[in-house]
Amino acid sequence: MKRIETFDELKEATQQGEPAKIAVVNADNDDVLLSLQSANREGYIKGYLIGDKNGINQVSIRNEINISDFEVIHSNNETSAAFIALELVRSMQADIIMKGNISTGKLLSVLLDRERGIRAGKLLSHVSIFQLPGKSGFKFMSDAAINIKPTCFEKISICQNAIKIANALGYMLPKVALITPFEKVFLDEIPSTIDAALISKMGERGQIAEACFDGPISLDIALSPEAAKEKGYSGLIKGDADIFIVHDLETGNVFYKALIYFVDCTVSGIIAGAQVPIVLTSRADHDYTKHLSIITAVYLSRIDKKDELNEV
Amino acid sequence: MKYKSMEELLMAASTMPKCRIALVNPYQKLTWMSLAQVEDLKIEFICIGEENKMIGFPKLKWASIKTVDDENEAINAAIELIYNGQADILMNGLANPKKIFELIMKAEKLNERKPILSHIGLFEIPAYSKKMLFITDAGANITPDLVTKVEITKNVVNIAHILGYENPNVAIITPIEQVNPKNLPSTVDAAAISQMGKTGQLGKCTVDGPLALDNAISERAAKIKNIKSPVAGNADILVVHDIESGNILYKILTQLTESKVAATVAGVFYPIAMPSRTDSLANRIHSMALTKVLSLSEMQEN
Repeated sequence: MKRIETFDELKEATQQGEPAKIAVVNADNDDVLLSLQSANREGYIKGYLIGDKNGINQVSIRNEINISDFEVIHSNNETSAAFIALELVRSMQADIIMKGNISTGKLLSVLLDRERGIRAGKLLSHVSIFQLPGKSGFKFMSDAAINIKPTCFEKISICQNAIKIANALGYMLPKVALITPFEKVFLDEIPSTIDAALISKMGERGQIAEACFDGPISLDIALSPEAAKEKGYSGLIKGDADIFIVHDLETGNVFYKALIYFVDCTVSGIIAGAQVPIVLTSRADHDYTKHLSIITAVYLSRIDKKDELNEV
Repeated sequence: MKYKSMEELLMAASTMPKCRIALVNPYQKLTWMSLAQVEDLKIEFICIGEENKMIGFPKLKWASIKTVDDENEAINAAIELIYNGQADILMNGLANPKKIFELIMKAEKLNERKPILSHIGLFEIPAYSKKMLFITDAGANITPDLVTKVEITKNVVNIAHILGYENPNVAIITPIEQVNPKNLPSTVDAAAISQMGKTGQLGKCTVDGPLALDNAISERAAKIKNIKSPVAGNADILVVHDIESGNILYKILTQLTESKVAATVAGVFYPIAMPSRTDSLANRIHSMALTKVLSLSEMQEN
């Protein structure tokens, strides 16, 4: 499979084919409907707007958004709106879930519901996908939004979710960098370095499939061959990491926001680990990020379907 | 005066009178190159290290060499020069930073002081509307507790004052802007520090937090989130939660943007320049300029 190197290529690869069906939880929100509008106009999506019917209609009228490609399903309670979305997924009527006017915590707890939830992997995690100036191809970073202080085991699942997305975009055997402030293991002081060492070793022994691993490794070495050379670094990754796994939410959040505001690079984001891709954008995200996040979800939902067919 | 760019800081440093840097273990080629290029800055270097590791050291009118037997001796010799008034600034070449901190603290203890040292980066960021931004602590404290964060904040406010910021805007950075005691301790620290700022316990400054990075540096993001604060979108100083997040921010800026940085370690009565092994030549020179300006401005204040 040819790997997808740019968002333009991603759009091109996604544009062919039927629109994907998206189920939006509490769609009565200006930002959400506006981002759906542009993706709908370009033929990527149609689907279901779940939530307060009056509210949804008001938002669409206020913003002059044509929602005729969407079925409005009334629900006056955000939890039940989320469960309706799950039902649509389970009955194969929806390919993607998108967060509207509902708190992230509430949506996640429904997605992870013991009986009715749609978790597929061990946990749900946020994966950021971005292009860096002067580098070819996509880079992936996790987790900037969901897991606050993941344990070592949870980090392994975070790696697996990110690897799966990288694989889906054609990045076979991606290089996973377990990012820490330093390249040495500091047993008493810096727990991230211990987790990194452990996960690298597990990767080396083939205990985590479809990728290769290096860490503890600092971001400069993971990003820059020159920095690797200057520090005399002899590990696997020398400026050519594909996936960056950070220690915790504090770090991931700063990473994500610095990319957007200081590096000015284009980013899309997705929640991975459920049976379908989940789009979760922040109000403060740029419109382009919201748009690309939807397109990424559409692309991934098609790959997931192909995988299912192959398995059958 | 406030420096609006790194260029202005360099200019200021070169127009100030001479100062002296005690440089420990100058074993790296990049360090030598940086020394060779700073005649304009009017800095005298006392280079302290092991003789066989300094073979090939460039002959410079403004650099003298003092040989020692090992790292400890080199660091102690540099500290002694400062305590004796023979040097103004301590700078690291390739010594272990941990060792340097340890010996600095030892010397302070003999004088019955117990400061908290913190790393401060002064960045010039092209994509930031205000250009200049202090970021702390990306290098000295690993997981600072609230008490340490308060000292980190005081240190950076003090440095900002010396550099002409009368009332700097300080943002305490967290992933979200709500206080969340259950899951995010950083937001609790931020709330406490920001109240201490209001009561004047941190010196003259305006502190706000918890603030996410985008809220601190983008007026648009702050507006969307409906955050009304003089600091939001308008920060001069970012205090980050720990070394993990600080390090990421520091490295994104240095590796992926055209930002310039000058770095110092604050907390003692003399400035410390502690470039990272992978800092560029230019950023090493910026750090020399920054510490010189800090050193001489402090003297003027006293």
